[in-house]
Amino acid sequence: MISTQLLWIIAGCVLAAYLLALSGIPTYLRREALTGDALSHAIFPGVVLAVWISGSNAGWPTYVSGMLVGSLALFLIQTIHQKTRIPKDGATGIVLIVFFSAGLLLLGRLQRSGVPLGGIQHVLLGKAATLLPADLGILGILAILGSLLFFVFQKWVWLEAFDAKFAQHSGLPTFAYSFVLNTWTALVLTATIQILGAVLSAAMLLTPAALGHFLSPNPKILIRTALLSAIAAAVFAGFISASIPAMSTGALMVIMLFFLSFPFFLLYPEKGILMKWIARKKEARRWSDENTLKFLFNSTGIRSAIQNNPSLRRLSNKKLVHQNNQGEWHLTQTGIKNAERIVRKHRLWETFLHQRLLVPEDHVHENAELMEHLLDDEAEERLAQELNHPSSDPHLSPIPPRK
Amino acid sequence: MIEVHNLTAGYGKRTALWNIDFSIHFPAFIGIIGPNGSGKSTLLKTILGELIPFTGSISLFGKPISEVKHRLAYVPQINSVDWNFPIRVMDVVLMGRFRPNSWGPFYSKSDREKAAFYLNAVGMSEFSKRQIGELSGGQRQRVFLARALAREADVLLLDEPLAGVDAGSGERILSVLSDYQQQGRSIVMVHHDLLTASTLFDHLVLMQTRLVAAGPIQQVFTLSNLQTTYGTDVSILSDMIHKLGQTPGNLSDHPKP
Repeated sequence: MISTQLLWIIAGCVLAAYLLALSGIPTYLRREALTGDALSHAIFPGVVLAVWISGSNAGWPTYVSGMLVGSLALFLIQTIHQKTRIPKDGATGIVLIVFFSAGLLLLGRLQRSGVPLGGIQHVLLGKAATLLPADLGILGILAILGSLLFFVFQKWVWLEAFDAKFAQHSGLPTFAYSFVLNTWTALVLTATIQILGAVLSAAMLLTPAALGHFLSPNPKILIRTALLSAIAAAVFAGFISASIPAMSTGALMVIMLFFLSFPFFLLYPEKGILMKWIARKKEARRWSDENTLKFLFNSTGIRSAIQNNPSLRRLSNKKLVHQNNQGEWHLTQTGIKNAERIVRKHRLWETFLHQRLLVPEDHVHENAELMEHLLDDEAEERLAQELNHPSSDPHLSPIPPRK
Repeated sequence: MIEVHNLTAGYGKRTALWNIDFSIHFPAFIGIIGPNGSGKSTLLKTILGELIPFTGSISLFGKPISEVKHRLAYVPQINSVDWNFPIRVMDVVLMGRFRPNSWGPFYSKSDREKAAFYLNAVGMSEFSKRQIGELSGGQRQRVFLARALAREADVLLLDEPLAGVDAGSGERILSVLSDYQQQGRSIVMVHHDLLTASTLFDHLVLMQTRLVAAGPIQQVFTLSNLQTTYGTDVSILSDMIHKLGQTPGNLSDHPKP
């Protein structure tokens, strides 16, 4: 049964995930991932401070305070980087951890001071159930505003992230743009901190964009993948979080997103890690099989010493080799044809190296050992034409004709 | 009009060019010529405002560089951007059509037509849908050139746009540049090849860390100036004279009337 309470929670999660994924796209494209992380940690003391002063964690003081402290952190990162020659990632790391520690200390003091805490104890790890209707309203407004801004400024986002100098020459006010973008990101992180928590919101900021980029270099697909994956993760996390109240929504959402992305990173055609590994394995087998064929072609009948050779087993399954009664391996008719092609490529390449590139004939073999596996049929044909269909290689071994 | 006044510039403590002084009226097709290490690229970077000069000043259209940046277009070093960036060739060229008031995710039809025209001009049409990371170095250079051309800025600045480009595309690019210039725009280009320089440009700036000569090509392209510029590197000169089928005497030592 779907209760109103559950709908509230899911709506909150979806809005938060959507906002973070959307704002994360420029951050990811500008390679400012660490800055996004720093920002999410840096606004934490700001939010705690706002609760302490105003006595509640709802309403505008939280947002203003979060944004101010976030901007202060960014300003410090920039200043440290410029004044001390500490690299930017180093400066970012320092500011991140200092602000976060300050937030922890403040939170500890606050818990003992007797001020009504509201949902503040969840600011660290996030809890969607503590969401108030007013917060949901703000998330909704931000989501609409963010979508509008993103639509209007999409060209700016891509141009500035790709080539900031060119953007500046084209009249894009890069300084103001960065400032507005960072302030906006701080605002979004403040608005979503209660659902996702200071520690985890950076993951929701960056992972969707990274997944989108992994799947396609096409901006349209990147944006759609980022937003859809974030929304899907949020729906799942909202359900689980509502039915098992002890679980942190932020952590759930991040884990859901991970499970959603993981199969893609592993299995996506041509790019997935596992798919790449399989392709490499296949290629290695082909090389080894081709070498076996060539070996059998050059020597007549080999004995059982290599009985369990996996390459021979594969070739025999393909009926390219067979074993006679004495246990000797021989090439079949098709096997001979295939082997001749490899030998042909090998010897053609040797001839080419020797005749055209003037490589001495005792130095051509090693390179031909590689090229025999790489030349495709078209290259082989062109090579033969180029060399006027030679009948023997530099070592005077015959080059088998193409049948 | 470009005015370079008393310019000395370099990197850190190393001075790459000394006391350069010249002015040339626009529209012009200006070639910056000189041997390796003569400060050609440094001059270009200073004109672009990327390098702050030690002393002296440059003005374009009678204003300091910082005020006219939007009227310049240039081709950056190809290693200055991330080539894994999620963007396709056509999107990069379209960036040349960017204006601060171009809202929304799409470019107008005329912008797309212009981008396609310049992409074709550099011989890269068939790659328009490719991710930029899939291109070779020379191809990346040509895409950046198309983007700079697509800006249709008043002044186009180029640092050896033909480096790493095959002969066919090279000729094509030169003819595109001629057309570009004939539309009343100006080009400032660092160039290596003296042979094409003699027919391509209408103004020359000859450099040898100091200024050798600057002005209309008829006045500046003289044997003595070239000898001062290239000094010991005689092979380039004799090679060129050979190619032009001229004896040194024909390459006038005196300004043409």
